[in-house]
Amino acid sequence: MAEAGYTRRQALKAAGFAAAGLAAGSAFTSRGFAANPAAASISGSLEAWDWSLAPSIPGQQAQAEFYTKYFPSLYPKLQFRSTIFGYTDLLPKLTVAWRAGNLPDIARCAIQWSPQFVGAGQCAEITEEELGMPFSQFLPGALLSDRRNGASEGALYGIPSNNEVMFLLYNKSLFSKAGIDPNKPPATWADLVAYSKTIHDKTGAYGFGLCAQQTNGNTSYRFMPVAWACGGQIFDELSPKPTWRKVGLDGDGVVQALSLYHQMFNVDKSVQPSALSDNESDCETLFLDEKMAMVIDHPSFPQQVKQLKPDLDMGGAMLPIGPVRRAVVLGGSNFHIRATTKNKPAALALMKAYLSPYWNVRLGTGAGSEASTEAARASPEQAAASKEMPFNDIVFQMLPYGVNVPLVTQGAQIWNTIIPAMIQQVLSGRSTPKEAATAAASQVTRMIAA
Amino acid sequence: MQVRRWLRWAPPKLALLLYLLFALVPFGWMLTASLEPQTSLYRAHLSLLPSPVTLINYRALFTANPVAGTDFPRYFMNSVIVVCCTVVLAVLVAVPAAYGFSRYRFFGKDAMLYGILLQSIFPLVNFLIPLYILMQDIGLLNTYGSLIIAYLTFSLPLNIWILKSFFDGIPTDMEMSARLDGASAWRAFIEIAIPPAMPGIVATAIFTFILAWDEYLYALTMISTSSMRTLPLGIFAYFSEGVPNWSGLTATAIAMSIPVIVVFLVLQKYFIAALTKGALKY
Amino acid sequence: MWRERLAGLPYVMPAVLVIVAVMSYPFFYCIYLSFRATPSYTTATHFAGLANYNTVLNDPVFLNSLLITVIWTIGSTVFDILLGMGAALLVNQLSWFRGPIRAALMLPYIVGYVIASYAWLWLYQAEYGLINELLTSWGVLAHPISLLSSLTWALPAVILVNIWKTAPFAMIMFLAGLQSIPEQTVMAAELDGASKTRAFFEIKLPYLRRVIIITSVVMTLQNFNTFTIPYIMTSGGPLNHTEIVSNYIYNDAFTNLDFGGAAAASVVVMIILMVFAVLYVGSLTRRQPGVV
Repeated sequence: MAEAGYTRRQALKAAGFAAAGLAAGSAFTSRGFAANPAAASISGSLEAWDWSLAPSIPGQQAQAEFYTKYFPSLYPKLQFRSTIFGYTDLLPKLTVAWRAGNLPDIARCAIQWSPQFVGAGQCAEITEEELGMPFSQFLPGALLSDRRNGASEGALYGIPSNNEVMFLLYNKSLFSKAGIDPNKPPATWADLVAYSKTIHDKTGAYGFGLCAQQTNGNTSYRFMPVAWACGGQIFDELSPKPTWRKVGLDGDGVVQALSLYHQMFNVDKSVQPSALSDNESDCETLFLDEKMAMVIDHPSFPQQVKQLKPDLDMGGAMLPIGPVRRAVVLGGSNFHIRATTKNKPAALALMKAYLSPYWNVRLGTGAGSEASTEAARASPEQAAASKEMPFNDIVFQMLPYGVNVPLVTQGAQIWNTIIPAMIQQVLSGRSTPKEAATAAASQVTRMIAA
Repeated sequence: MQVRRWLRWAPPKLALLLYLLFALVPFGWMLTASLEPQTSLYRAHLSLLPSPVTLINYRALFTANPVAGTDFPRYFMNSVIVVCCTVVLAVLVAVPAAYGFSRYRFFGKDAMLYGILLQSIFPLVNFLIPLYILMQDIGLLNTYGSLIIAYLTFSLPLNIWILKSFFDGIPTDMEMSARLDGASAWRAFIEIAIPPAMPGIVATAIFTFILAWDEYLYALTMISTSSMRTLPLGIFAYFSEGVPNWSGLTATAIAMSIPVIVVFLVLQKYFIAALTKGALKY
Repeated sequence: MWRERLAGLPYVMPAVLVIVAVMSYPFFYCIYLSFRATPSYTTATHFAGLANYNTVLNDPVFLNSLLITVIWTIGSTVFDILLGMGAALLVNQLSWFRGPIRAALMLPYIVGYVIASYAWLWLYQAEYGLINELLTSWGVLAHPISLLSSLTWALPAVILVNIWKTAPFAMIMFLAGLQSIPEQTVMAAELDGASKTRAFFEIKLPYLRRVIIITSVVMTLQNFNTFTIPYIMTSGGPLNHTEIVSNYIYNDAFTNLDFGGAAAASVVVMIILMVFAVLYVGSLTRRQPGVV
């Protein structure tokens, strides 16, 4: 679609909607991007599921307000029901519900869950007309996760609700105690390994938080950026148009990353020895107690630190660069509408309301994440929210370096099971990095072939 | 002489004391943690005394917080309703069944017995989707009914096997003589066979209570609105992203365990009474 | 004759009907599913014969989980029975505080698997856990270790938690059984001068035979199918050293999205346990015909 042509059409539409909206007298449409459909046109019933944001940040208030006050007030004729689940609860629940073909009509899923639902054909297609805004508003990488098999072009079966990347959080006072300049975070991964050793030798605290728990996504979220930075990949996700067919797990980049892990855990012993059973929460606990100097974490964590331990001197940095590039997992969430839903207009209305700049920012940045639309990110609300959230500028800068999780239906198995198993083989000394990577690669190859 | 008596008396008591410590120390820790604010958990301390002491975690339980999705009083009520109905139904159904399997012979008895067992040793995970479909078709999704029916069914096999074993251990003479005296089979069952089996019945009631009170996976599948949640689902609200709130969790855990403890204490008295009555009957 | 044959049916019918009504669809659906391929890229399934069974039985992870589960089950059940019997005997002898002590010993069982798992997770924690503090202050350990990430100690550690949790079940069963022993028999033996140990082994134990058998069967089955403790504490790690069969099945279903494979694995588990139950109960009850 030609950009100019679409902009004109969209401007006309927006004007039309705005006029209708103003005529309807709703106070909220003035905040809308492509304004919300008129209140009278949305009726019937709608059930929405979402997952709860971390408790101690303003985003949670916003989430409750959105689902219990704002959206119902927009469409009084709609019988709206929403439920917020715990993050780990939502996935099995949604898997069962959508396989049995029932509610909910719309759900917000973490991006690594999307391939399973999109791939099995359980999501309804969404077009630009239905959405009322051009797809160019969204990060291309995020859109990949909404297409069948992670295709670079084609129909979209979901819409990104927010994008999220992780960054490096460190303890400035521990840096100083170890003789490192607290304003000079590690620039490369090799630096990070060295820093970790220095900090552990000089202060006794653990230099870096290594998550290597089995069957846990946290592990891969922290390992893959290292692998990608060294040029390694699971399939071909580093290329501009990944096919998700060619297995790259036995490449040099992965082996190099495994060697770095091996160095920190077995040789330098500068990370916590319980790494094999530690996940994100365990590392956060140690960081909070100033027993750990560096962690890779979500933007929501510094907020928690501020509340629980206000005198912890935090510093933030982008994830270090590797020999090839800088990389981070492109996280976030997508909205999916159930393919067999009976009330698609209402579901679309919910999405549009969520994606309007004001709410997109509050539920994105305000929740330790980022808004998913360009318009939201450019809006004045974003500037205000950025000031409130610590290190938000770093997160913004990291967005372009985001790389996708495996966008195949067996993605969960690879991400949660195969990669952590590979890491554990190396950390426990059972295999060398090369052996572990090769074994993992052949496992994935066999899986894809089936 | 006294020394010998002491030597015989002490070791068993010592062993009991050790076991008591083993059983209770985790609770001591949980109680301590629940009385401390979240951040003070991070100092290594051997003492089981909380410091600083605070009731903030317990107070948080009783302020329903729809924002965070925690509403302890409501979840508590849901659990109580579901579990009480389950236990009552379980006893009403399992006791006669166990008696029937124990005293009578009929076609397919062994097949039924082992068939019942078969269903209970099949891992529950596989049943989640079909049971969801079933409950959806009956229209019981997200209701107390779905949980009660399911928990009843889950508890029946073990209850029946255990109770049957108890009934097997009670000699049939008294029932036989009662029947010869003209009592109907049913009366013989209620008035003669049940009293000595009371310890077993109470035991199965307790087991069913605990099974239903603590069940998580199936409840997660059936319940989709937060107002219908049972307690185990509520607990997971503490484990979203971020640093886990151990203090809040332990406070909830303790609050969640108190009713079960109370039930047990109450039933336990009945346990004793039934036991002595049973013994005297002999 | 017919009436006698049928007389027992009304007693068992409610239970049988409930189970059949609720469980037959799920149960047969799962058996059906175990013979079908369930690819993750679609919700449709197609017939696959014994393919799932083949995959499962040749999967080293599954076989490993079977082994771990056997160790877990035997370790838990044996100690459960021993601990439960010991506790039951001791509590039975008490003349004071019997009620409160019995209730206190029941607490681990009452409190639920989820809470028990989290409580022990913290107790085992390397930096802040009570276990490590005790062991280091007694000089057993030079410095704190993380039991749950150790390849050798993770499994015993979680088995300990399971024992802690399930032994009271055995205790209660044995207490109920002990109470059913006729008072006169015991008193007569004591009057005859039998020592406590002899009284136990020769008088009480035969009466307890039935309870012991049924308790060990029930506990074996329950322990084999535990899910929560390894799931919460270690996720089956490190390196699958604490992954028991129910974790494997859950992962197969919800992470690998291979519902057919999970069903096949479950059928295998069920057959194993069934064979065990039939053989075990059958052999023990056949040995002394009078007791049954």
